[in-house]
This record gives sequence, structure tokens and C-alpha cells, in this order.
Amino acid sequence: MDSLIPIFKERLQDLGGEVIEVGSDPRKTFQEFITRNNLYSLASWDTPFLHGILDSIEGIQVLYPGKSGEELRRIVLNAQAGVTDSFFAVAETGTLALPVTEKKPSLVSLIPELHIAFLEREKILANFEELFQKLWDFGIVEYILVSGPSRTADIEQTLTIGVHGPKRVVVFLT
Amino acid sequence: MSGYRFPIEFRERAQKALKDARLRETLREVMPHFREERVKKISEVPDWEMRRDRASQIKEEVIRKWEEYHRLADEALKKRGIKVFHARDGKEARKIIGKIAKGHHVKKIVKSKSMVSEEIELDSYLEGLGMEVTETDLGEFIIQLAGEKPFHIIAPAVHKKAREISRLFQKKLGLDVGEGIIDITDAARKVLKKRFLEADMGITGSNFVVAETGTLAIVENEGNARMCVAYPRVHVAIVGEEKLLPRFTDLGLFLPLLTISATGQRMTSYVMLLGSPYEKKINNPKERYVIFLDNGRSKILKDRELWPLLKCIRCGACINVCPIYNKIGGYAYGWVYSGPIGAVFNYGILGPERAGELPFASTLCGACDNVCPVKIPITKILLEERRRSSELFRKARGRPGFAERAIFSLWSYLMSHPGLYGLFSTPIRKILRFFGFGSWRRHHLPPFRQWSRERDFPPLSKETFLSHLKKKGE
Repeated sequence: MDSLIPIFKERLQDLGGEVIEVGSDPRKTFQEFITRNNLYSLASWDTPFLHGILDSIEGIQVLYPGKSGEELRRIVLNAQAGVTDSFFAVAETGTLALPVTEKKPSLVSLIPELHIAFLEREKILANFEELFQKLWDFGIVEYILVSGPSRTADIEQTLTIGVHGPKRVVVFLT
Repeated sequence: MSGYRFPIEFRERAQKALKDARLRETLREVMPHFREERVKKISEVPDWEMRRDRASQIKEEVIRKWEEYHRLADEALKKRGIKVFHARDGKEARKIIGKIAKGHHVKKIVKSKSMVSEEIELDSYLEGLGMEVTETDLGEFIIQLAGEKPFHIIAPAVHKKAREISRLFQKKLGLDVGEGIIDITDAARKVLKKRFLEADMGITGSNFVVAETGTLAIVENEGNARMCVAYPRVHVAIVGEEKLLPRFTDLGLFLPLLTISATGQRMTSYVMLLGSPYEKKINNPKERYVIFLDNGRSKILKDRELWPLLKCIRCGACINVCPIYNKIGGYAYGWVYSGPIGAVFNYGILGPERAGELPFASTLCGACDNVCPVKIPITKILLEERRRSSELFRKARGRPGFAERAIFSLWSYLMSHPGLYGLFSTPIRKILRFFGFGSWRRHHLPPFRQWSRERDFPPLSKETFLSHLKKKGE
């Protein structure tokens, strides 16, 4: 598992993504990141872990998926960053496997310009074959597999980062 | 081939493309990137050939058990609350989708890349019903504005320069956009965001459909397909009947195989693995439909020689390595698909009467065979289709003339009798050299004029290879 971490970092960075080692205090690392990047308005998945990190951070507004679709859309449109955790990840391709549920809507990792994803290092798998075996074992739900920020080369074959999906993907490795 | 005109006049279209300097410049600049990136990523994968073998086997399994897997897929999709339709042809598919749209009072549609939707000319039909259809892939959006057809399966607007696109946005959208690529992308993002928000229905294709679970797998880089699925309340996926995979875990093999073969990406930015619609929950879509399209695929399925075409996963790797495509681009093929797979598949769907010239658009170099991730024997199929086209041509023109028959009979007799061949080759060669065949030239004498029309006749040497070799040995 440890040998997969450098590969994951390298592959995700290759795609324009960033990896931040969280160290012993995830809240502190996250607070520093928030301050450094002038973030004050976030949309987040509704999970105990994320509540644990985000609810104690000062100076930011965090909105979780609400009671209606319209509310969700409004939340993500106004957020500077979308925060999620990750079910599993793939080292070979720099991929995060994100389930899609009512508490973990796809829009949170799609609309805001910055996508922040918490990832437990033990969850990094070697390749896609392993990932799909794991997803199968856990039972089929809906997933979005995210490999870095959105991109296009449709104009003059020149790579442009940030189209409809996020321009920036930052993985907090716990 | 003279005397018989095929409706897709490949030869004329190819000639036109060859004279188009800008087209050729675009191809020269753009195509090597796809090839190089693919090669780079494959070198990271030590078991690539094994993967191709395995993928080929799995796709053959789907073809062998076609009915069974389709039944499984229908059941699995329905169990997820997805409504399934099977459309025999384009007309039926359009009607089904139109009915779905009308039933949901759809006014605005957003659409992401689907070659199958091009096959059935869906956009114009829905617009005819009074609906607004927006192509949301950036390249497709651009050519939709320009009123053109896609240039390449993976990079539809690659032939358009940024300045040209900026002016197009100005003209068609009334926007004042800078001429930089980032300016254009920003402008497109703003315009499309509004369209996503206001859309009633999203139409996508699907790269794979898993028979055992009813999962739709869709790959993309921009995020527009995710928008088409997550914003509107209705999602329609239109898919070729051949897109099935047996098991969910097969995706672990096929997804990287597809992305590396297509654009040399280890993985695309996004892969959606879609399941049930959200009916009463806050997420969208509330309803999901899958339309499987036949449009001639069942005919190919039953064809003793052509059935491997149904293995195709639409990666475009064959297109990228084809020396023909690299000279003339996609429009010359006259229909939705281009390059090697286009030549054989268009033929399979449209038949020799319409697409009969396409199998001849090849040097039989075999590069396509080498790169195909599912090992479709494209050159073998090209030859078979040529044989069929020749029969058609023969029927139309009647038997070849006496001279042609005589020469070929003589030639095949000589070739099957090596002793005689050796005896005759020297005097025949001396005679031909006497008549000018000793140097490079175009020959204006029939029947050689036909050969010389597209290539110069190489010179006949002074001596045979064998005697040359013997001499060297001394």
C-alpha cells in the first residue's frame, strides 16, 4: 500500500491535480489550506467525517445538500469549493472513486471550481482491475471516477484545464 | 472500377481532400499526438497484448451469446427502474425519443457525444419538433454553431483555428470573445452552463452497458456529460446494440483499454457508472431511458465474415494510424464513421450498393489490425468486402473483356508453374523494357493507364532478383 502512494501522487500531479499530506491533525492542515486560498464558502458532502473536519473551522460557511434539488443547485453554484471524501482511489491513473447518493451528490464535485477530496491512504488500489473488483464486492451503487481536473483539447489540440468540471483538484491524504 | 458509380463517391471526395491544404496541415499537426501518447502509455503496460486478447474474447462472447446477454441487460436495466427500448432503425429510434420528449413536455435538450445519434440524425428531428438541442462537447458545440459535421470521431473541431471560432461565437451567439483559446473556453462554459441549468432532458451515448448489472459506463474529459446527466430531470441514453459487456468487473479491463487506445490517456477525467434514476429523491435525473439501436447491426451479426465488426469499442485508434485517413481526413468517407473502421462498418450498415468503394480506401498495410484493442481483423474484412464489391461491379458491367480475361489467365498460369515463369520472365521483361518500362513513368497505353492514374509504374530491372543474387554470391 505504501508503495502505491508515490505512484498515486505522481499520476495525479501529472494530470494537474495536487496532493497534500495531512499529517497528524487534519483540521489544522485544512484550516491552513483554507486561509492560504482565501476560501470562505464551501459545499460539502453530508458525512460524519466531513462534519468532523469542517464544522469546527472558523470563518467559513459550509453548506450540505439540503431538502430539495433547487437548494442543492443553489448551494453548489455559489460555493468556491466542493468537499468530498473518497471511497477508493487508483494509483496507476490518479483516480478517485466517488459514490453518488443523496448525501453525496455528484454536483458537489462538479460545479465548484475547486474540488477538495479527503482520501485515506489505505484506500489506494493499484489499478482499475482491482478497483472494479472492490466496487463489485461492495455492491453496485452509482459512481463517478474522477482523474484530475476537467480538461479539453478540442480547440487546436491545445490542452485547456477547467471546462465544466473543476479547474483544480486537491486531495488531502489522511 | 470504371463504369460503376457508388453513391458515396469516395474517390472524388478523397481527391478533393487531397487538394485542401488546410485540411492536410491540420491532419499533419494533430494526428501524431494521438499516436505518440498511445504508444507512450502502452509501454507502461507490460501485459497489453494479453489485455487485447482478453478483451477480444469477451467481445466475442457477447456476440456468441447475443440474445442471452441482451435479455440479461434488459432485465437488469428494468430492475433499476430504467425504461428500455429496442429500435430497429433510425426512424424508429427518432420516434421513440421524440415521444419520450413530448411525454415529458421537453422544450430544451442538452446532448453529449454520441456517434449513434449521428447515425440516426437525431438533432434535426428533435429540432423539427420545436425543441432546442445543444451539443455540449466543446468541439461538437463549435461545429453545431458552424453547421458542419465532425471532422474526427474524438476531436470534432480540430480543424478550426481559435480565431475562426472566436468569430463564430461573435456571429452566432452575439458574444464579444477574445481570440485566445482560454477566452473561447470561458465563453463556451458560460453559455453552456445556462443551457444545462435550463434543460429538461439530457441525451448521451454510453461507451459500455453491463449486462449483469444494467450499469451504463460513460467516459469524458470536460464534465459536460456529467452535466447532461445530473441537471435535467430526464436522461436518455442511445446506444448501439453491440455495446454490451457481460460483467461489471469487465469494465476494469475495458475502460483503460479504451482511453489509452483513443487518446493515449491512462484514464479520462471522468467516468460515470450510472444506475437507477432518482425518482423521488433530490438528485436528478428522475427518469432514465436506454434506447438500443439496431440499424443494420443484426444483419452484420448474422454475416459469416463481418460479425467481428460488432466487437468495436469506438476508440478511434485505427483512424489515428491509418495512412489513408491521415491524408484525407473524415469527410471523404461519406458517413458517420471514418478511417478503417468507417470503411468496413459503413459498408456493413449501408451495404455495397452505397458504400462499395470504401473497402478500396486502403493500402492493406495492417496498421489498424495492430492497434485495434479488441483485435478486429480489419484487413481481412476489407478484402472480403472488396470481393463483394467486385461481384457487384461484375454484375453491373458484365464479364470482363476478352483481353482482361486472357491476360489474367495467362498470368495465373505462369505464376502457378514456376519453371515456365522462370523461362518466360526474362524475354517478357526484355520486351517490356524495350517499350519503355525500364524507367519510372506514367503509362498512357491501356490497360496500364488505369494503374498509372494514381501511381507511377516502377521500372522493371535489367535482371531477375535470382540472377542478381547468384551474381552476388560469386
